[in-house]
Amino acid sequence: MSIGQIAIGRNRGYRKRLSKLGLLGWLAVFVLFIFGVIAIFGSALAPHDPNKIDLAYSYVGPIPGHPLGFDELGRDLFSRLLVGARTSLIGPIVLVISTTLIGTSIAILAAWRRGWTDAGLSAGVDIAVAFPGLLLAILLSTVFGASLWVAIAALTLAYTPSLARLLRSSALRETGMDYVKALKVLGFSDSQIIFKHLLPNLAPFIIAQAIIMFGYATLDLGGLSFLGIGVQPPTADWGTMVAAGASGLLQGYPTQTLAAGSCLVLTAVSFAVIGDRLARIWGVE
Amino acid sequence: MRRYLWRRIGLGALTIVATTMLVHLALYLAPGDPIGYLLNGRPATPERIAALRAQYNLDEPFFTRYVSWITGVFQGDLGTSAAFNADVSTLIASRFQTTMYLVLISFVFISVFGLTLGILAGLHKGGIDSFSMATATILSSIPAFVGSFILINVFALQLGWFPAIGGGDGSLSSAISHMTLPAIALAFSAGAFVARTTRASIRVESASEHVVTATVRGIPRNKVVSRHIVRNALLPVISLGGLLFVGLIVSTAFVEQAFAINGIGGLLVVAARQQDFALVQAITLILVISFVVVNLAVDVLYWILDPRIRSEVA
Repeated sequence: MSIGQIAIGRNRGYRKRLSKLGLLGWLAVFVLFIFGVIAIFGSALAPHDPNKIDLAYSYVGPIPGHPLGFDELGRDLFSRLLVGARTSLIGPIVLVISTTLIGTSIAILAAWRRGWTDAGLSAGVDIAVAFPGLLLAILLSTVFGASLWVAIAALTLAYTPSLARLLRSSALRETGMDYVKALKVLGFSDSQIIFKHLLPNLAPFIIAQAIIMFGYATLDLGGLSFLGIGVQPPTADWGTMVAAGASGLLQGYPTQTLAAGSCLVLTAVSFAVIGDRLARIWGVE
Repeated sequence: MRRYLWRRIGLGALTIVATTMLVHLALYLAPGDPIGYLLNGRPATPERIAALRAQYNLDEPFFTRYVSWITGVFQGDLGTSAAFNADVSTLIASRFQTTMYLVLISFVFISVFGLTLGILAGLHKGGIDSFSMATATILSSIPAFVGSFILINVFALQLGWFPAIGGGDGSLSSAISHMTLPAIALAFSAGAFVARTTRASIRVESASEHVVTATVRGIPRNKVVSRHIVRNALLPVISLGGLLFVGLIVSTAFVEQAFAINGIGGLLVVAARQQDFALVQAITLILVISFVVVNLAVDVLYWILDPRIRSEVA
């Protein structure tokens, strides 16, 4: 067994301790599993065409076959909620993956090179961290027009600095450890050490952060869609549905807004609970 | 103190210049040529093109253009909004007070609620701690645009305690009754954030040597808590308040849309949707300036509250 293998073994206990998620944690996993299934199969599960307009059914309450009733244009709310799961969750997935990739790269680059690279990157991060993501999204959509992709790009820019800052300090601690020095002395290449040893050891922290971020991402993208600078109507999406139901709510038909809003909140709470528990289990709070 | 302050002011000015330059530069990033972008779908008459070229100094190099814009700003000329076909400064001025009311009332809720939860959770372990933190987790997962409608539905429509929409007629009492629900909706996630930070800060402070010493010396618990723990623990929370401020102004966009309030945040989003560059640029400038001013105020507050900084700098 080489030194490298011993080092890898150090943090690998984290899979076993997953059973410590607790009742609430597993409940959250269950909720997300259901939402995931709906996001994948939503259009097949939907009992009706989510975009079929029938003004005769405008704001009609629940009737057999339509458990949530209809929206302002007489579209089946339950179907729209199911189909909307996909748009509402795909955006956050892309956002979390891109942020995690870029943020991790910056953090590891800074921690590995140290010196000027670190100083430069950290200074950039320090300035960018204070810039509100919403303002960035507004600026970018002013210039490039409003779309889900512009919103994702803006939030990636906004999230990356704080993730990079968090990861950098863990990466610095890790690169300063004896096993990294030992591997260097043994003649392993930088990329071998980074990909085979450093990243696996940082993985619990990165995964916990990504999961916590997913909750925020769902709410922020939903919020941008609500404001009209994310997903564009008539695409069914939880954020745009909250906005579309607003006038109905004032007239006494709150179902659309509250149902879509609850889906967003439930998703966010679930990710927050799981991320929190994982961070505690893996000791990376 | 003076040198410390001047350095902070210089840094603030630098932030303002750098940010506004970046925003100005963004005009170049727009797909297509700037004129096509600024026309924004309106017919391209020669007069209109000439007017836009003059307004944005498009024939000048970037730096000249930036300088002439910033000179105009100092003379109170923020440009003309393409979407509203009106003077940008008039558009902003008429909405500024509304948004300030909203943000200030929200700040009261955030402080009261975040500090109470955070201090309670920080000082007591066990039940109170878990309960407070569970509350914080749930509240931080209720975004302002969902929270607004929950509040409207319950407290305006069902109970009728507050008006459902609108910003009031400008008087303080009507502002308070109209702004309470929006301010609470705005305070949910920021309040949860403050609660978490306060709790962590209290925990660190409680475990510190000076607190242990004070306890061992037999100083009564409530005095240790108020003078040794809370006072020190609040310092990082104050700087958090400075950071939260601009985010809060921008986030008013959500509650202003939900409650149909005419404010800066709502205006900013309408401007973005209409790709109204002059308006977005002007509001961003105001936001950056308020960010710098608030953080300057936080620095001064730190100076007053924490004698250690005084000796460090002096």
